[in-house]
Order: sequence, then structure tokens, then C-alpha cells
Amino acid sequence: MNLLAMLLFVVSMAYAESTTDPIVEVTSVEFARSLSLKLRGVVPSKLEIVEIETRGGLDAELIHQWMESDEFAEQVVWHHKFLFWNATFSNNLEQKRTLVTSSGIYYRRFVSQYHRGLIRQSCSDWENTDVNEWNQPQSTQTSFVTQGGQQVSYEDEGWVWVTPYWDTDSAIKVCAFDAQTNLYNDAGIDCRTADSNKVEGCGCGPNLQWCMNRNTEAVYKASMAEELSERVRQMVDQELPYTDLLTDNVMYYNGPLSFYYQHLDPFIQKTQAPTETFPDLDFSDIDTWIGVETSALYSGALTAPGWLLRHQTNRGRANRFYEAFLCSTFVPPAGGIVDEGVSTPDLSLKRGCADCHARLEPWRGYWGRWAEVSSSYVSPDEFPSFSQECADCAEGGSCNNTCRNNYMVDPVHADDAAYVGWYLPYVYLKLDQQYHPDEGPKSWVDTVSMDGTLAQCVTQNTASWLYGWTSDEMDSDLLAEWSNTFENSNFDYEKLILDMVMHPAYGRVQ
Amino acid sequence: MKPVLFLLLSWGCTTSVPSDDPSSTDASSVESPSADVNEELLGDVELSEDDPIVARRRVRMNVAQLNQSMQQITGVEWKSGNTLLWDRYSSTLGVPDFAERTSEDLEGSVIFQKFLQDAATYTCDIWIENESEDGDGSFYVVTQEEQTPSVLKAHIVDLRYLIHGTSSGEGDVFVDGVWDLYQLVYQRTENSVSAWQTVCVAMFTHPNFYTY
Repeated sequence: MNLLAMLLFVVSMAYAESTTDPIVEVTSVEFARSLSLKLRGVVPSKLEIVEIETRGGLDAELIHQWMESDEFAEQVVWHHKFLFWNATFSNNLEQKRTLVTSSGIYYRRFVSQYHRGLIRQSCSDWENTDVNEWNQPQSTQTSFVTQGGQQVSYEDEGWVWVTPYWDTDSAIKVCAFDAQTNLYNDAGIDCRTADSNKVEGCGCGPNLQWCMNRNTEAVYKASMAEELSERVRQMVDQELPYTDLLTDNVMYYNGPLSFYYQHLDPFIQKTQAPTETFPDLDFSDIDTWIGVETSALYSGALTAPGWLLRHQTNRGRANRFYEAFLCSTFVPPAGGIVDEGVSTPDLSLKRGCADCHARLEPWRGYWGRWAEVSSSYVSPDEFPSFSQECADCAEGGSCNNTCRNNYMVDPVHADDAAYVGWYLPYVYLKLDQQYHPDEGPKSWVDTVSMDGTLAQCVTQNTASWLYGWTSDEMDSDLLAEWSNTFENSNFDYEKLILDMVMHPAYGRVQ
Repeated sequence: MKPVLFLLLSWGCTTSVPSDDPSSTDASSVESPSADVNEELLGDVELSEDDPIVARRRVRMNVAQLNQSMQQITGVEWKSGNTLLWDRYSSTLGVPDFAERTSEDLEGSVIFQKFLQDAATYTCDIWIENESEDGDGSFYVVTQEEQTPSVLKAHIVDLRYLIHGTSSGEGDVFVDGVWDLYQLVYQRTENSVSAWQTVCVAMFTHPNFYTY
């Protein structure tokens, strides 16, 4: 009978086609259905429809009730995913802290050479009961494996039972070297720091808390991405100004993130704990979120790990903000970018590049104090904006790695000369732009909040969500009206939404 | 243009949207204002012929909305074993992951129609099965042999209200079409379950369900 249903469907499609082009007023139930889908992601229940009809339509009170619901917050979260693009960080966090399994035995593939003398080699499948209180093997055996047609030997310590922090109800087999819990190795290296990533004698600590497996790594990365959504939920639930989303000094932790920053973060260069204190949560508290105040340097979602790791370069971060929150796009000139032979390395001056980079370079400077491919803040104490030492060594040509990797010490063009000795994120920033890294993206948000461009774009984004308009279909008069009201309401996002859906235009569909 | 202006002004005078007119049989018709609308004329204003009437765009439900709405209406999740099939096919259906895909595909494409048809078929089967066990509900499949055509037709109207959110009055062309479909299937199969399944699938695969 599906064929018949399909036949009816095709006929009805044709019917629908003929009725979708004209603008029509919708009935109160159709209005409620549409609004319920937009605000709650689901059609109204039969009981709700009856109630709406009894009340003579969907009134402001009922709409307000819907906007108080968790479902509404989730719709706003979904809309903002199209702005933040909060997806999980694609790179590994730290392979030397990652436990993988071989024949059901967990081991760290990328540190085996330090323990067993052979790269990517697991221990063999035998239980080592001869370990001390820190799981340090007191005896090992020599085992052999064939590599490239030759037998090679490795130190084989066997495995021990460990109850991992990610599943406290069951024990797993872990190679004894990786299961070690001692705080220092024989050479005095602190096993709780990144210094222990490439040494023997250090393991994964109590309950493997200094390591992760592939699943827990995925949980950490997903939590970082989800933290952006939690910011949106808080903005909706607490009825905070929209600008707080982009400027506040709060980091939200769930159980995995709290655990990660307390136990794993010290080993991982790509991240840095945004706060010194952490909420008391269990690893399993994935859906519990607690906000902790950060330093004033942080700027809401724009300096959150989920944003910084998703958009890994400072130009990428600035470009995404420009597109998502200022509703603009860098468009290359017709015919493509042509290098006209002007050799300046300053992209904001270089012909062909300057069309975009004259604006982009100062803006990428706002993230200058945030490391790329990382979520770490780089303090001026660690890397001052100007280093006389690096400037001096640049003249002599014998700079150390710190200067070579982080400061302008190798000028190749006359335009470089003025920046010798400067920390690289400051290079090519003009005098009136050199505060950008120090003030961070918050400074940019403040500027666009005051000049109206942020309000206009947020309004446009919201109209696109609620009205289904493309940028070409936007009604400029309505946008201006809504945008002004939004700005004058101290960026009250719920009011903006309410203004839009209560407007007569929402009662018409095309 | 004046009637349009009147409608705009009157809408602005109330917090309620126009109420449903039970006599209406065509969703595309312009509804009359509800009883609580202030109908007092606010005066005449000359409008240019070029003044556009602004409206929102009719859009297709996204996958999450389809999933939630079909569950809301039927109480049935589209799944295979413990796997939610809307989730399994989300990538195929153009749901963004925000890593490799950052926009949402809301086209009524052939692929979309195919999966909607699958979802509707599964959902309707279980929905009717559940109601058959209860012996009551929207379909009345157990007792329908004893029902008159007008009662059965009333269930189609009820189903349409439930699935499309649309009230139907006498002479509703859509309801008449579905009634013909019901009868056709029943005549050929002598099986009311098959007839109701067909009606149910037709309702869910109709744009009045999945667009808004």
C-alpha cells in the first residue's frame, strides 16, 4: 500500500507546490505549530492545541512559558552551533598520555620505547604479581618480537589489574610500566608533569588519572565543544545580556573537564587550565555544569577551549567571528588574488592580500595572547611583547630557541626591521593596533557592541533562524527596528525573539 | 491594499494571533481576525503599490524536529534494536556535524523523501499496533467494521488535526482525498489495518506535516 501512499504524496506535493508561493495568513493553530517547532523543536501536543484554541490563540503568556522551557534553550543552542561551529577538536590531545589496547591489555604506544626499549610495543599477556605498592615491576623478562624479518628483544613487564577512573566498577589489564603510580622516577623527574612524558619510571598514576583512553579523550574533547553550548544555555536561563556570551569571565566545567584540568592538563601542551580552582565533580558528572570565574583576560566563548581548539589559528578565529557575529565575509577580488611582486611580508600592505588582510591582520591580533593550535593563554610574564635579549641576539645572529621560535629575530625585508625583538603576534601590528593582543577579543566585541554592528548581525542571524530568510531576503526596515530595540534592551536576546515572533509578519508564510 | 493594512493594524492591537476558523477548509485562505481583536479602524493610510508584505519562509522540519514531532504524535521512536534511526542516518540526511559540514540540508530531496517514507511506515505500523492492543485511539481499527463512513471520516479529520495541526470542515478536499484512499485500500485488501497504515503514511509524508 506504500505505492498508493506515495501516489497520494506526489499528488499532494503538487498541491503544496501550487500553494507555497503566495503569502498567506496562517491560522492560530498553524501559528502555534510553527512557533512550537521553532521555540521547542516539536509540534504542540493535542492537549496543547485544544488549550490554544480555547484561549483563542497563542498569547504572549503561553509563548513566554515556552521560552522558559529547557527545550527552548536547546533550540537557541542549536542555532548557535551554526555560529560557533562547535565541533570536537580533531587533533590528538597528547598521544603520550593515551592508552590503547592490544589483545585486551592497555598500554601507551608512544612511550614504550622509554620503558621497553622498543617503539610501539605492548607488554606480553602475563600477570606480573611482583610489583611494589606503586605498581613498579620488581622483575621483568626479556621477550622477542619479529620486526623486518629479524627478532628483536624488549623488556617485558607483563600487566597488572587497575581500576580506571572512567569505570570504577571494573578492573582492566594495564602494562605494569604504564600502571605505575609513583610521584617521582629514579632520576627525580616529577611524574605529575609534562617532563615525565618522555622518560622511563613514570606511569599513569592512581586509577590511571594521568592518562586517558580513546573514549575518555573523546569525552574531554566533546566536553570542550559542549562548553560553548553551556554558555548559550546559561545566557538563556539566567537571562543574561547577549554580549556576555562573548565577553564574560567564566569557564564552565562538567565532571570530565574538571577532572581533565586537575589531572591531565599538566601533561598536555595544547591546553591550559583557565582557572586555579575547580568544581568538586565526579568524572561521571557529564551533564552537570558549574561556572568558575576566570581572570579578566578571558572573553566569553571567544577564549573558551572549545572555540580556540575549533578555530586553531588567530586569523581563523578572527575570520569566524567576522562571519558569524558581524555577518560579513572576506571575498577575494574577481579574477583571484594576483601577487604583483611587491615583496613585503606584511600581508596588510601586500597588494592582492591587503584587500582582506588590511582588516584581518589587526583583528587576528586580538587573539595574539592565545596560542595557536592550543587553548593556552600566553602571559606577558612568559613572553613579553618585546624582548631586548632577542633584539640583541638578532643582530649577532646567535639566538636561542626561545627567541627563534617566538620573536622576530630574522628580518628579511625592510618592513621587518621595525619589529625586530617583538613577540611574533605583535609583528606588523601598527602603533594604534598594538594593544589588541593585550586587551584580547573582548576589546573587539566592545567596539562592535557600541557601533551597532553586533546587534545588527545578531538580529539578522535570528531572523534567518526564525523567519527562514536568506541574507538577500532580509527586510531592512524590520531588521533595523528589531536591531535598535535589541540594542536598547541591553542585548536582551529573549526580547529580540519575542519581538520577532509577535510581529504580524510571523503570522504570514510564503 | 487597505484590507491588508487593516489586518496589520488589528494584529498589532492584540497579543493573540488570529484564531482558527472552524468553517475554513483551506489552509491557504486568509483567516478572519479572532474575537479578541480590536476591530476599530485606526484611520486610512495611503499605501504605495510597491509596499511589500513581509512574511516568513515556509521551511522543512529538520531531522531533530521530525524525530521529536513524530514521537510527540505517535509515541513511537523510529529505531532498529536500540539504535535511533534518525540519528544513524543524520549524516546522510544532511545534519551538520560542524566539523566537515556546517550548514543544514533542509531540501525536500529524494533522499529525504525516502527516509521519511521509511520512518513513517515504521512509526505508523507500531502506532496502529499499539492502538489495536488498546482497542481505542485515533484509528479504531479493532472496531471499525461496526463504524459508519461518517465516523471513519471523522477519524481522518482527527488524524489530520493531530498530524498536520489543521482543522477540517465539511467538504475538505484533502480529507475527501484521504477518505477515497482509505476506501480504495480497504476494498482491495479487506484489511482496515492496511487502510489505516496507508492513510497514516500519507499524512506523515505530506508537506503539511513536514513543512511549517
